Amino acid sequence: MNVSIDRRPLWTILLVRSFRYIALGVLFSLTYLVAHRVPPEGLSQEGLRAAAVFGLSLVLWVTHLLPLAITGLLAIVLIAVMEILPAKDAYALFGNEAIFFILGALILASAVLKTGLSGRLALIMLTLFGSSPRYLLFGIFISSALLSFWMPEHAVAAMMFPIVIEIARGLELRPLQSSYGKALFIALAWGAIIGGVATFLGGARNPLAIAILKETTGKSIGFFEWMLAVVPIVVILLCVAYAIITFFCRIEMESFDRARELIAEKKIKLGRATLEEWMTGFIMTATIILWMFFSHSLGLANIAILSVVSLFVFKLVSWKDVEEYVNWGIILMYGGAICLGSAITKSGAAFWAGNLIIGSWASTPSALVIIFAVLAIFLTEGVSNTAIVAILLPLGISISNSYNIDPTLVTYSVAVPAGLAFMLPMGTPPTAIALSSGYVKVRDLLLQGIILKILALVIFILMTRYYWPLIGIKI
Amino acid sequence: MKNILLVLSTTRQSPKTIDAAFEKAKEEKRGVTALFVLDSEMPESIFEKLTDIGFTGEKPSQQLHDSILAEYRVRGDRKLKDLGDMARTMAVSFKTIIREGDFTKECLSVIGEEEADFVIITRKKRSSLSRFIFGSALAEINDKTHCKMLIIDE
Repeated sequence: MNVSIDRRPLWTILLVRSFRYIALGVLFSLTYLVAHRVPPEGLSQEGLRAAAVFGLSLVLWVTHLLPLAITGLLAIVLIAVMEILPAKDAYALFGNEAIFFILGALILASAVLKTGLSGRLALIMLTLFGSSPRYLLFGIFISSALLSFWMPEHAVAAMMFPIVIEIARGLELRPLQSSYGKALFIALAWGAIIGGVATFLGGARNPLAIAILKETTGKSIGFFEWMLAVVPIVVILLCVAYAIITFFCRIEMESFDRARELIAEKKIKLGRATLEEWMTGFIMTATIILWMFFSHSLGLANIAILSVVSLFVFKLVSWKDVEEYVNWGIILMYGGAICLGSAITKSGAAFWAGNLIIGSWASTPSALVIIFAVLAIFLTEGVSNTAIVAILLPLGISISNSYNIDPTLVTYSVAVPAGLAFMLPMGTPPTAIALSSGYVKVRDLLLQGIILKILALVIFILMTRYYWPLIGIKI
Repeated sequence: MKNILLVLSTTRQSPKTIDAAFEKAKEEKRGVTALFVLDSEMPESIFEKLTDIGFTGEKPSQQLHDSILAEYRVRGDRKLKDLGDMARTMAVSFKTIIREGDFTKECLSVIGEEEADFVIITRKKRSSLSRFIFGSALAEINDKTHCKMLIIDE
């Protein structure tokens, strides 16, 4: 029997094994102590307790000492137990319309994945663009982006990965040596990331932002309204990102026939589109049209759930498929984030914290947009973008309310930049997926990512200044 | 004499290390046992990110995880085949082992099973700060094993 003996000092072993418990113990103790202090001037006792819960949630979301969803659940419980909000109100926020909207959107996405429609659409786009190495690179980039308009970007990156890895292998591109291989996977990741901010469907953070806005101010942003404001920004970003990729990554491929053959083989293997694919595509298209033009009269969540019901009526998915493709943790995270946002806003803690941290620097709409866009776009590299929205948006809304600035401005300024994590794998799964391919190194993402990030910030600010007024968003 | 244990993985395949192992083996008239570890840390961390941060369901996350590992296995097989050709050219006896899992655990397990007395391994280029914060797999292996280790910087 082989026995390995850990020869490290005993204190090191004990510290490593118990670090997480010590950290959690310290955090909970600090939260308790802070919540029971005498509140500072300008902050009520409820506000102080809300701030303590907010601080605890922030640290847990950033450090991942607990899963994001469990932190969301913990936030609700603490808000109820510490009487920041009545328990009935705290738990009622689970029934928020945004939660049912995103649940419906995820189930719809699961049908698109399960029937193979998403894979077929990706292959069709690659076939259209697969005539040369440069066009194929563009095809992968644009497929990731366009699919992420209508499906969660993480699912798109996960779905595209096997296709792109097979192409890279077929072209005999060497990991860590091939510049073209690097370009393919960065294109896959960045296309998904940028496309994911264009609509409410690309990432959970956008509907969460709308929910927090609605819960705290009563205002909302429609599906089409969001697209009108953000899609032009996305189009410009896609052009810039593609230029950066092709600038830094040489396309050293000459012989390309194998890639064309591979894509053609995969298409043949898929066979003809099935009735399930056609029906799923029809339901998805109809749902998107209803969201775009009828969300104000019918309600986003109502449309989403009715579409989900129709998937089951036509037996396009089973409940088992839904269980396998949908992560129910999102409900807990959402519920917690909305409840937390509501609690810190209603208790005045958000206003107090916002003034303390940012103060009168954000007293004008331009300053508000710039400050929160900068915070969101850089913090999102290290923290989940959903958590960024949950942390920054309540602060931003409180500040905007105190200076009579339209809170929808800060909603866009947090939610859109929060989705633009290009540099580090901890920021968003698509970059981690690109790294796992073995073709991309962290320093490639850092160098190209920082350039894209700065340009993205400048483009966002310029568009808010010169384009948004044209569509009625006054800044 | 026992074979020299050459440790490779999905992220440690330095040609310098491979050359050093075969030259040493030829010099000392020993064979080479090449251990290729399919490091599951990356696909598992992606699985966690997809389910925890990305809120993606278990099935698509697992499919991606398996797809990444399958690709690593193809690369591992290819690498070991190349090493086999190199061994034949140099007339060095050669054995291969593929393991999937945690790099440190699998290394220690094989060192124990093979009763290796000499291990050659690559140290990845990283800053001292990174090693201090995130730890070092090689330091851990060195701490937990008796055998001689030759560490070659990437």
